[in-house]
Amino acid sequence: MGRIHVLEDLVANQIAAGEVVERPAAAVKELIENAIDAGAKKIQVIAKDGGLTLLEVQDDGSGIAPEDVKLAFLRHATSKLRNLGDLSKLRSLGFRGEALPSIAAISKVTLRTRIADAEEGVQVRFEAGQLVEQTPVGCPKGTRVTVQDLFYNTPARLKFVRSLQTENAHIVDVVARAAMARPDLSFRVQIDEREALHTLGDGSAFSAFTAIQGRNLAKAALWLSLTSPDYALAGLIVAPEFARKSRSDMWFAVNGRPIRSVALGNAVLAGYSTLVPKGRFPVVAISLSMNPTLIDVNVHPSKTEVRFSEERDVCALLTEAVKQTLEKGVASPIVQSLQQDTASVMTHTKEGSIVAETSSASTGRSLLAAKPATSWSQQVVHEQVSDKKAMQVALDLFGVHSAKPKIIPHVDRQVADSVKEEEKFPLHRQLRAVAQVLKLVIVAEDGEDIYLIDQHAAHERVLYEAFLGKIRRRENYPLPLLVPLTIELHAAKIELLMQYEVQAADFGLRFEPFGEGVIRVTHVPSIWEGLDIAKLAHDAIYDLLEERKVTAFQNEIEDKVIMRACKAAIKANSTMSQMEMDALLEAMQKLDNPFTCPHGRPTAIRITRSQLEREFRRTL
Amino acid sequence: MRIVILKSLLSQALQTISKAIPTRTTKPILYGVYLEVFATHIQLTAYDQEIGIQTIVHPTDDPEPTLQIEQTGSIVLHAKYLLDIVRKLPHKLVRIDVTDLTATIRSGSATYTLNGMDPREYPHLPSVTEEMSLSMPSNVLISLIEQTAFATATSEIRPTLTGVLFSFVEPQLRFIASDSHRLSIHSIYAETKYSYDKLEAIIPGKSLNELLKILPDSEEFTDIYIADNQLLVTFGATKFYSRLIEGQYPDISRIIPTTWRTAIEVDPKQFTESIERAALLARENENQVIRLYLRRTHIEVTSNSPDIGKVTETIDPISFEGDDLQIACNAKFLLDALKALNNYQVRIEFTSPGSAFILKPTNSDRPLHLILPVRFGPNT
Repeated sequence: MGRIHVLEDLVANQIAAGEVVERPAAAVKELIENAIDAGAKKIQVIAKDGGLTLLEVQDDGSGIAPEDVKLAFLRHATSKLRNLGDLSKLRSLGFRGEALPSIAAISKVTLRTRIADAEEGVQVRFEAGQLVEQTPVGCPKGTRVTVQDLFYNTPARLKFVRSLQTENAHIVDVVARAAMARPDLSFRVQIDEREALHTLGDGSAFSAFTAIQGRNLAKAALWLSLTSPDYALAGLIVAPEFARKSRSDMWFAVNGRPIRSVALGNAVLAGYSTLVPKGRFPVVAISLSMNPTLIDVNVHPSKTEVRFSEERDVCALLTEAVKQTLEKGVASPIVQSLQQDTASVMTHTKEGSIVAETSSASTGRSLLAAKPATSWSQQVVHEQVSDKKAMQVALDLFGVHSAKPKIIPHVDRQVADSVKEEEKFPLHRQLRAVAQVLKLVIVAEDGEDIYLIDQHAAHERVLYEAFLGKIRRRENYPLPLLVPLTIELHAAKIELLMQYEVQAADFGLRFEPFGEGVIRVTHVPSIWEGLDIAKLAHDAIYDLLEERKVTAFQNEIEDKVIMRACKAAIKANSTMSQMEMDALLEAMQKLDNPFTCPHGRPTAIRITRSQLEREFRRTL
Repeated sequence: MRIVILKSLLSQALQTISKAIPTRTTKPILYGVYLEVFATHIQLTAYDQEIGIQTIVHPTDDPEPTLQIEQTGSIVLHAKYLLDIVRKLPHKLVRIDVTDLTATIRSGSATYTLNGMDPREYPHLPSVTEEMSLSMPSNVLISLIEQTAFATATSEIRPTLTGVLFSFVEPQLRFIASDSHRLSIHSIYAETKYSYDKLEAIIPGKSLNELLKILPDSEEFTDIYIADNQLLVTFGATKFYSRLIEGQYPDISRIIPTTWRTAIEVDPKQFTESIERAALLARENENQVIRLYLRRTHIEVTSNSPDIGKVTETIDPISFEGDDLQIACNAKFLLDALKALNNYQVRIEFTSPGSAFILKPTNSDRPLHLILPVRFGPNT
């Protein structure tokens, strides 16, 4: 008898589950994707004990026809595609047909469902992948999947489940990402009978963002929107001073699918540039819309990674969008609270004011949520995503109703204006230096708000921009090397590199092939003098091959300029005369970016009049 | 404007005013020296808003011309560049021609063109009414500053302590400085043009240290003027302005002990060297503590740094009066005071291990330096 045999279904499904359902949150992800694909408007997730004893996902979607219910639990059974051609045009979240059987293989699943025109629903119970019960049942339209005792028959997996808090956090995170990607749907998460998240599903990205990230971050968020013929980007990016220590709050969604992408993350960081210090990551939630043929989501069963066919284009566009958005409206950091809840009375009134503010904020932003949104999943799939269409998709995604595309730019501008009005450092206003305090900070006012300006950081920024301007104007010529550098490269890469010979020579970098697999660098840019030439040449050539442009030495030089600016800037702990303070403020007002020092720290903190009035309880 | 001037003369004037050029400022014109050419003399001004220095150069009657004024005018030039340029010029004489805001500097066959700044933007020096003034030889003022300015506080926690108290109660002028761990006093009898009951001001220690660098060490008289918030010191052709520190200087009248239990006399040079040797091992601990064991037979100077090692040295005092005593103190304070008293035979008077001791010349109470000891640990 042969040794090879086909695995039993249960074993195969358990193995598949290993890939798809690695932790309770992954099951939640699969189930809410099913719900979204079923056209649900409201999705409720209930979890107990980290999702291990109970996980329940209820939706008001289309439901499953009674005759299909059993099929749904077969592996590779799906309603979402029929042939391979469909895969590339896919607009639904799921398609592999693995979710339900995988979950059912490692838990006890009860599914009840009713389609709109059926009089009664049907309930099925599976245990370890086996159907144990099927009964008709009365239930609301939609589907409810109840997963009990997850991993009860896969002890190995159970062992790897972390603390219940961790699992709970992952569940909330999964739903929050889905909610951010689909602000037109209402999500509610209940963990151990406590409501952990509730998004309204009013179609407004802002309202979803507020529900997820909180009011403070939402207030500091800027609206990002950019379209190109192939792509539409829309989302919220938060002012740099709220940057986090990890990438975990850089959220991306492609065509309504939350994804993780280091490349997109780096593109956002490039857009923030020196606004955030190294090792800090801004909070962003950005949705990309594009023709599904331009992406491949079938990279991993969990589908949190996607491949872009033109990743460089997408990233460049994203960087540009972030840059533009920040230039338009970076806010001077606003002091969050002058004092931390000193008295209970204080806390009480504060809460009162929070409520009041939230409601006013949401009415202020109601432009974003003008009308109930249509979900793109129900839209016709366009083979060619035109500019207008892309924008429409993007706006739909964030709930701006676009029945008449003509009005969109108008709405958009209004939104941008309201953001600008509220957030932007009022450059047109003349700051008046009131005093220097602690030999560290200049206190200034503009008649409306108070500014605390870090004398060193502000002067550093002034000098940085001045020096950078000088260096950019400086003549750069090729500096010949007495002993040329040799760099070993793959023959194919040398071919590629030689295409950029002229471009590199423009920067003063000259090289030539030097025997097999070696190139010889004969000239380097004169501004490299005194720097680590070998490393720079290596980096520059690597950049040429990867990015198709010379960037390495620019960064290096920027570092040099930062250093110089830092050294020449007035130090903390030095007295400043009124004349010097005035000169500094005047110079600041002429800067491209007066709000952070070149190291990424803020230069100014704004305390608004209304904040002061609130703190002193003049207003509530 | 057009002048020809002796390089050394210009370089010296620039050197003088450069003390009031800030190293870092947000107002670029303050990096400049305001150069004015009048029919009879030239005047250089620098003012960093804290201190201001103005100096005048006159032509002399030497057979060789020192300054030749061809055309009057004014300009503000970057002081550091100008000083560096003038120092390096190849020829004895320098010619400066200014048209609009550009200065051409020629010497020998070298030609520099320097971009200038608009004199109208240069800040005005403070006005000080020349009524309240004291006069004294320049070297006396130097000794007043040298004996006290080093003891001023460097931290801004108590701003008045960063300055030297200038206190004139006829006929005595006292300079007092303290960083609250030590105190230095020096006093002289000063002549005044008018009579004042009392004249007090707090002069920034930093300003006095800069003044020290440009005061001539001679018998030449200097005049000191005190206005509301400004000090003006004039000597020769130079005027030195400084901001004054506002506030009330602490009352020190009861700090100085009048009795003692142990007194020694030492040679400051020998004692300084011993303490410097002991301090080598005291560097590690924060306040550089060294210990003195005062005995009738000899004085022991020790320092102990648990991580590094210890040092002991004995010296013979010139004289010893009173009881044996052990005391610990910051070596730097002791060295500063001894350095100031370098030209005297020094008498040190102690009261107890926990109370302040004073250093002063053997047979005078001026100048006087007081140091607070460090508390003795029980087993160290």
